[in-house]
Amino acid sequence: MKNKLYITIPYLFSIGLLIFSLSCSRKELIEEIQIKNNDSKLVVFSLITPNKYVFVNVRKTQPIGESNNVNTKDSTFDLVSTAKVEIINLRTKIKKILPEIEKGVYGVSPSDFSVIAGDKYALMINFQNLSTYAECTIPSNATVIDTVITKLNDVVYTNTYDTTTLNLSRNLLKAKDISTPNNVYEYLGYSGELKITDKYNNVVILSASDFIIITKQLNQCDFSINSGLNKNEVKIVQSWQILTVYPLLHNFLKTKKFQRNELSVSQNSPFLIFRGVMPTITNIQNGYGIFAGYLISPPKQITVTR
Amino acid sequence: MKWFCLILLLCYFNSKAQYVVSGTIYDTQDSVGVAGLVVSFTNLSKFTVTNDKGFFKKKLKGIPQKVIIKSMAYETVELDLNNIQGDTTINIYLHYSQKELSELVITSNSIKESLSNPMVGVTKMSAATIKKLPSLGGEKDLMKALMLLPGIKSISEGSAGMYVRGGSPDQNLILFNNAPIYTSNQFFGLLSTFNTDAIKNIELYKGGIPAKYGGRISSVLSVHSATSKMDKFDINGNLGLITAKIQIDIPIIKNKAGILFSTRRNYFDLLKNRIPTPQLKNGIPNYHFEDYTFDFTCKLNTRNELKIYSYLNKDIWNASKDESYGGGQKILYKQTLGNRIWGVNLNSIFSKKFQNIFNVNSSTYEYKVANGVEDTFKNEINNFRTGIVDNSITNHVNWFASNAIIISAGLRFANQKIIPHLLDYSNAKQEISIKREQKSTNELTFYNDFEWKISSKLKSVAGYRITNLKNDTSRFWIEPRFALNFSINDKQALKFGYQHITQWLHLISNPGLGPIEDIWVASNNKVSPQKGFQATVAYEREININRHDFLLKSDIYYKEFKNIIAYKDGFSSSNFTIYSNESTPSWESFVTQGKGKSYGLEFLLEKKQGKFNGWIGYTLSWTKHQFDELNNGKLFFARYDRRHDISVVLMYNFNAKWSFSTNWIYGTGQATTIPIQIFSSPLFKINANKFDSRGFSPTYASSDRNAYRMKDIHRLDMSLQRNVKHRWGEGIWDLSIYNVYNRRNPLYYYMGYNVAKNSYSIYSVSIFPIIGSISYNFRPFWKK
Repeated sequence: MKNKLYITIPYLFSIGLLIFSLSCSRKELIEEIQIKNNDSKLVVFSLITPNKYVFVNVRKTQPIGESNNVNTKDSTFDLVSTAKVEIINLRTKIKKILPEIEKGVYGVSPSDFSVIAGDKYALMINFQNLSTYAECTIPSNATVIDTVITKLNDVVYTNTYDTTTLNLSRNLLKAKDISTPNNVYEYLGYSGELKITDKYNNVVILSASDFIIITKQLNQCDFSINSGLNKNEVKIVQSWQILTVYPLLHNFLKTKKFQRNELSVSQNSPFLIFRGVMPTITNIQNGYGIFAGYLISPPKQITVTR
Repeated sequence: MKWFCLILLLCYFNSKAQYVVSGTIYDTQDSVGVAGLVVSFTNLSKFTVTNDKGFFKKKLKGIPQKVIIKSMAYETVELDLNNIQGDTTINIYLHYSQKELSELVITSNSIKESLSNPMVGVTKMSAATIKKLPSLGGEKDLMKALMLLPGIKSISEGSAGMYVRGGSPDQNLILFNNAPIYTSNQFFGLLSTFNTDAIKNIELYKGGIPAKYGGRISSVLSVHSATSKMDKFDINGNLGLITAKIQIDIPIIKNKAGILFSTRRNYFDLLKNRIPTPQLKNGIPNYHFEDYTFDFTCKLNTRNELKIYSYLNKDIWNASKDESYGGGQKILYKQTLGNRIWGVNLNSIFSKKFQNIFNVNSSTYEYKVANGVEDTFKNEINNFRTGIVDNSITNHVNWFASNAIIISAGLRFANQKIIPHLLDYSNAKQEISIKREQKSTNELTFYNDFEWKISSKLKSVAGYRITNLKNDTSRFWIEPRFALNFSINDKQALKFGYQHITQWLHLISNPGLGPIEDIWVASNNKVSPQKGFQATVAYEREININRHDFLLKSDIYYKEFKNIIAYKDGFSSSNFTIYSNESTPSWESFVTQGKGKSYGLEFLLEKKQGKFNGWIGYTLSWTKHQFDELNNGKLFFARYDRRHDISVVLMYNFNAKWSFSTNWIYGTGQATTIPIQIFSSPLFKINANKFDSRGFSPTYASSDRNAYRMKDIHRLDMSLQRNVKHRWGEGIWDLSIYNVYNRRNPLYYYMGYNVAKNSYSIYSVSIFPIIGSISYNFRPFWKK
């Protein structure tokens, strides 16, 4: 018996090499995992504001791992028809069932249902065995700004992506928030055409690509305009509109943008993969998406001179 | 002469019928007391065991003729006591056994020592034990050996990151000859930084941490480097699939001074450079690690020993990829981390009652990440670096006040400079430097342990540690410690341990996927120090089955953590390492602090001696965290929460030539956060106040934090070793098989697109199939 143990070293070495070579096979080292107890939920998108249509976009989530859970050619594939969508003004108790005006989109005109600043609303959706509930409050006062632009100095700005250099006029925008001057919970946004960068703090404060991006409180804004002005040139930036929203909506949109960016970045290199936990922000009970209110300021024209 | 002993003092006290024999047993190499040695008095059939300072004491009826100190790690010592006429104190120096290369040497603490040690949750292990266990790629690893013990786990298969009783890796104080090591992982986190050849033994405290150790709330791993044997020149080395190692022992003055130098290098990069096809070579990362250990030990005289040591390691991983020749991008990713340690230790025995240990050391940890993308439009490079420089000076005193009382105390001053989180960003036209600085920290600590043998059945250790910390704020705290050992009888002991510890350093680790990018930060006026509380009740029993001695240990523990740190949702190490033009906030805004608790039961059945030995360990545990800013404030399981954990280790020594070992492990799957639902996210048109149904933007929703479990982990490893003798020396062939039945244990999960199913799915990635390895440990010029 003992003698059988005394195998020769070359034989031992051969066994080692054989096992090592077998281990080089990477076959089936990646396998798909089935997620249990993962049922679909409703996804609701609705932003409401006075004097405009109320639209509610209703979709259904697709469980990760289920076949055909994406459709890159038809984004309407997960819209939900024949859902019961009801909105209630919780102050006046006025209710309205929203009819489906196109596939998965339910709406009501301002004449049939009024959205009032400062009021609280509830949205209830039922579809088959799925139901959601959400509440939101419309801000009481729209942020109205009174601007004063002061020329500070000229700066050189280098575009990160095309490496072009711009000579910019750095201006100070002093804005007064007439509605809620001391409300630190109010966030401000912008809808326009230009990208404006706070060069000195390296903060993009406003962006055309997203309809709302966090700003500092407007009365603290100090920014340059990313569109080089020649000497004595006058630039008129038209149609500024400031949105007044609650932090939830701001965070939702910020996260949406963040998730999109990170998915895009991680496709470039596995080493740039997002290593944190992606936040899921929603106020839809038993579902996903957003139901929020906002106010919009009248368009504002600002003139910048270099 | 294979051993010598030195009797320093022989005290005489007149006694009528009883003699008390006491003393301390030291290791000749470092003059440190040796714990767990059985001291036998032959003619009286009595014995006792040395405590953790090497001290022993035995009351005897009658005159002992001979005292024998037997140990598998040291040469056996026999002392003739015929001439004593009263109570006697003897100090003995032992020589380390030189048999470890050719014989099975298991020197974990003996059963008697474990039963008599008042501290709970203490584990000791020799390098020889580690070398007997199966390995991954032929590289025997200290951390992997420790993870086979109850209460000590890795986060995923193959990982060398150590989680002790629900604590995170930064809560483990890892000391190399008393100098702290700030990263104990290398080789993508799969191997520890320690070269097993350069280690003599280790001690791990996971329950009762002595007052001389502080600053980490979960455990202390004290690694003692091997020292020169000082008698003759010796060289040994090891060739494996992953690394090559060599160790040289140079005596300077015979039995008085010697140098031991060890080095290890991984040769992945050298193999990669042999690949002939540039395209194929381009896709494989360039990687290597190397480490160097130096030890100079000099016995200045019979009472003073000087030790100078140094340790250096580097881990360099360059995963840059150049696809620019195809019109693509150059992707840059390079990670460098390393430790540099040096220290001086002076061990003095002032008298039979006083021992003084003076230590000065410096430990530098540096971590760098460079990443970026270069293509036609961009040319962005981010260079990030951070680290710690830790300089400390400590004086420690052991006072053997009486046969029942040992008092140890020390004073330590440390200055820790946090190397700033420095990020240099550049593209073709601009350079931006972001520096997040932290003030250096001055830490002054006084500690004291009072060990009292209250009666023959009851022992206690009460200790405290007082720390004053100054950086941008000044803090002061006291950490009480207490341990009690009640010997029910010679074969059973009941133990209790309690400790409060404060930790001002935090390690921020990514909760998600990708390479390990851990960043150390210090508490300041915005981030509070971590605080840990732990209570342990343990029962230990010696069991004799068929004339074989087993040790059964069972521990119940409860731990609480406060002010533990984590990234907020949406943040990761990229916020440190990659420049963003959107914001440059302070690092404190990336993180949030919360609390946690961990509790569980540990069982260990261990056979320490004989041809057939090993252990079976089982842990049942829970680890939960709560952060106001995470998971909607709800309690969630930590990633390393492990409900069940089983390890079985068996070692068999067939004869002088052949030995075999195997281990099997099982662990509940890692808690993880995964995407569970996907939906289209429409764009908002502000003029119409309507979300547009067209346009596809996939959005996923994740589960609650760590609400899912990865697959359970289980694996069988085996190792067969053969000792061989040559004309030129000795050697050991080691054949290891890792993951014998080819279990696909998950390393991580990710979400990917399945073309066949047209769906996003979750995938499990396992990187360790069955892996065979062979290594050869050689020792030329050596004859037993």
